[in-house]
Formats: sequence, structure tokens, C-alpha cells
Amino acid sequence: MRTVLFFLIALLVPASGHAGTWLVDNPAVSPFVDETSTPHPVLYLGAPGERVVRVCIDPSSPFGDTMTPALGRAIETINALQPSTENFVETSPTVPIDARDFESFALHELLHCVAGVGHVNVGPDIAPGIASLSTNSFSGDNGTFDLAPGADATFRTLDDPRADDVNFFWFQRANNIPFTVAAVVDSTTYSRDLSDLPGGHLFASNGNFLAADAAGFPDLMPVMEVVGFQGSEARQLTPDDTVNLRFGLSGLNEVADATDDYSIRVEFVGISTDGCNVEVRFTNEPQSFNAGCDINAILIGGSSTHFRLAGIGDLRFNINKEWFFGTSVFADGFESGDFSNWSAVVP
Amino acid sequence: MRYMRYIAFLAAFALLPLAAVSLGVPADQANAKPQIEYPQTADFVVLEVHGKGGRRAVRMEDFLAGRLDDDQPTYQIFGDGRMLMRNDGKLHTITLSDGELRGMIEKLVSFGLHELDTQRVSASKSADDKARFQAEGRVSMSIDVPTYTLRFKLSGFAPEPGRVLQPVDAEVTWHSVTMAAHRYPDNAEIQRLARFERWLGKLTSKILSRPRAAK
Repeated sequence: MRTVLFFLIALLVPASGHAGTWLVDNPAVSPFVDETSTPHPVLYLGAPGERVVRVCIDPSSPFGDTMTPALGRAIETINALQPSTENFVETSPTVPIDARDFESFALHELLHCVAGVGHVNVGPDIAPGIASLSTNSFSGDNGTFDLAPGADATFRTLDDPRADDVNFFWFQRANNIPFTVAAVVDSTTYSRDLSDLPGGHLFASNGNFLAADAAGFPDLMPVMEVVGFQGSEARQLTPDDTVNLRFGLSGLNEVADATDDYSIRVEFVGISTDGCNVEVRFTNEPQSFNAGCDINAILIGGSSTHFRLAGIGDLRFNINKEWFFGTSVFADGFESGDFSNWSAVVP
Repeated sequence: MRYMRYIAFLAAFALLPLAAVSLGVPADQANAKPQIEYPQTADFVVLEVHGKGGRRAVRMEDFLAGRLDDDQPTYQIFGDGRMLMRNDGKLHTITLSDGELRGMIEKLVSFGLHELDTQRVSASKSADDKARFQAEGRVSMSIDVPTYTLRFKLSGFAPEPGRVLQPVDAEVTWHSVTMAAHRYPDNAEIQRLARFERWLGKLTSKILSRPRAAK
């Protein structure tokens, strides 16, 4: 599994130009990682086969049992790797209006922590409101994010004149459409190099929720958008979320063949410290912190651009925020559900 | 970015309200306790922490209007003991007694953030990162975490009795280090920042779980 790795580890400087469609470091701070970098899961060294990433809940964490069902569902979603164009419930019937849907947020953070997937868009650190939905990028040599809506008056689309901004987003070479997935996902079908765009296109289109709405997909929101919405759900992967995962599966040669392709399986260990690659926990954090992931990556021998995730990923949620866990009586099956949650049974 | 700066004591003192009150403890009790002065007024901001960035959670209508929940400072403490915390559009107000406020300021001073040389810390961290990459090919990152800006102001401060009070007007900005601090065990400044973040998290928890006044 590949994800082009854009690391944001800038310390003591405001965030800028961070996290692309893949995780990549801020080049102003860490010039050794750039938009050509590609992460893979732990232990991938270039050999084909299945890669297993073990996700645990820290036994000392609050909400251990409470988060288990939703975390398990998010992991199943990653393993299924099925794209949906109807994954977004803007006004959830169950998530309280001020709450964060834990499963949706867990899915986002897991994609960072188990796969190195970055963000779809530049985010509000770069520009407020809908301009923040512009396709993720570095600012380029001029040091400025050139965010403009283009002739169609909408940000994030194929006609955005982005000047020298450096694109992070994998676009389909054939059509630059982010709402479908090519039959084969590798470097023959996807690119980040703007010179590979279809004729007349100026920049990579991303599939953010407004672009999706305009394209006839009103219930689509990429899991990897920077901003999450309170009271909403995004519990399934969208087409470009799956592309980000699948591209890496083409291995070091970035071509879907048998030589170095691999599959990824995320194993949910539960509340444990046994052989964990990612540990999930709730901690006391200041109010501005919702959730985050801390990971390491190491260059794979012989490559200057391919990394494998390493060490133990630290995935945290702020206990001082309002979370909705979606735990219901049917969460672990009708027969074994916790019937004490039923509000009334008559007679 | 502004960095911590000391302003000439007399010049700064001349600008302060006459109500400035010394809260330094008597010398016979103080031992190593710092001496602290600040105006006990409602408009004097002793501490302000503004967290921005990271993965946000907002209401759809606010996002479309370009409003974020981090447009205003997250925490503010004023000279009259009033403390504000903004959380998901809700404003929490806490009133601290003189003693509580003094205790909180002493705690803030103990983190030493007002003495932090941010340029040096940033350069040191960057050097560590590059050395780690060259030695191990390893890079590390904290994703979706906020960037904090702390402003800390006192009209007079001395780390111990008997020394000349100096005004403090400090501003420090950093990318959250609570998850990254373990990679820099020998970097005292990063450890200080991490301790401060953890303290702020616990303070937040305390504020949210405090007993509410009856309506």
C-alpha cells in the first residue's frame, strides 16, 4: 500500500503547506522528504505478500470497551477497501449535533497511522472556508499558496490556476475524475505530475464534498478531508480514499504486477499491548486537539523515495471533546447485545 | 512571530495602571518562590493560549461561512481572576481568587516558557530530525495536531526574592509536542512544552468536570 508521505513535523512554526494526499514533511523543515515520497505499511521491504498491521487499544485508556465496536468497524472498512459514493450523512439521525462521530474520526486517523495516507485538501490553516478545499499541495517556489477558483468559480477543480503550487493528489491520467477508480491503480493510471493531466486541465481535481455535490454525488465526502463535521458521519471510504490505499499496493516499482505487490490487512487486537503496531488511546488534551496520529517511517533499503512505517503508531483522541461511539444493542450482534441499553421493553 | 522579550522595566511600568498590585510573597516565606506583579484589572491579559490547526470538527454552516472554532483564543486569564475557555462554541467562565490566580501564575512560571528561545529550540529539533534521518533513514511526524500560541504577560517578575523585577511579555508558538516529546528526551525545552500541554489538558478536564452552579 502506498501513500505518498507528507510529513508535518514542523515544531515551533505555524503549520503551513502540510499533509498532502499522502503524508509529507514540511520541506522548509525537513527537506529530505518531498512530494515524491511514498509510504508503505510496517515491515514492507519490497517482497510480495500480505502485510498485517496490528491495532490495539491501550489498556490504560479510558473508554476502552466503549470505543471497541466503532474502532472494529472502522478497521473492517479499511480491510474491505470498497469505495462508496454515498458515504456522507451530513445530518446524522444518531450523532448529536455538537458531537464528533468516533467511527468517522477513527477511520481518518487510522488511515494516517496504519497506511500513511494524507489529506485531500490544503485545509483551513492555509485558507478559510471553501478555499480550504483546494487540492492539497506544497506552496511551490514562490512560497505562497496560489488558491483561485478558475473560470468555473469553484475551488478544487480542474481549472484552478495554481501557479507553481506542487500537487500532492493522485489523479487519474485518463480523466482527472476523483469519483471513480480505474480498474488498475498504479503509476500507469495515476500520477501527481501535472504534465500528465488531460489536455486543458490546470490542476488535479479532488473529490471533496462540495465538488462531489456539484458532480452529482451529494452524499460523498472523502474521509481524508482536513475538516470533519460535528453531527455527521463519514464511515465508508470514497473512491479517492481507496486510490490512496491501493496505489501503495503496487509496491516499489509502482506497477501492479507480481514482483513486489502486496496486500494489507489491519488486525484489531482489542485491548492489549501484544505486538501492537498502532496503539489507540484517549488522553487529556487542550481544547484545540481533537485527534491525532504520531508515526515514524524509515527509508526502504535501496530506495530514496519509498518509506515503510515503523515503530508503534500513537493514535490519540481528546477525552475533553464530545464523542459519539455509536454503540447500540446490536453493535456486536443481536443475540449478544447489551440489552440494558434498551430504553423500554413492554411488557 | 514575536519572541519573548523583556521591556525596559521603567518604561513598561510607566504604562501600567496604577492599580498594579504586588503579589510577591513576604521574603521570610518565599524561599525560592518567584515574585510576581500584575494589574488586577479586567482588561489585563495575563495568559492567552490560542490553539489552531490540526484536524478540526466544526458545524457545516460555520465551515461554509468561513468560521472556525479556533478564531478566538482558547484560554484567557485576566488580572481580575477571570478565566475563559472556549470549547465548541461554548464559553466557560471561571473566577479565580487572588490566591488561585497567583498559584496558577506560579505554575506557569515553573514551565519556563517565558524564557524559551524558540529559534534555538526549532533549530535544535530540526538538527535532531536531520541527524536521525541521516543515521537511520527515519522520519517522524505528528499529524492532525494543533499549533499553539501562548502569550504570557506580567508587569513584574523575579525568579526569587531580592532580585530586580522585570516585566514579562512573552509569545511562543509551537506545533503540539505531546506525542513527539519522547523522541527528544534530552531537549529540555520540548519537554517543557509537552509538560505544559499535558497540564493544560488536565486543566481543561477539570474545568469541564467542575460542579455547575444551580440554575
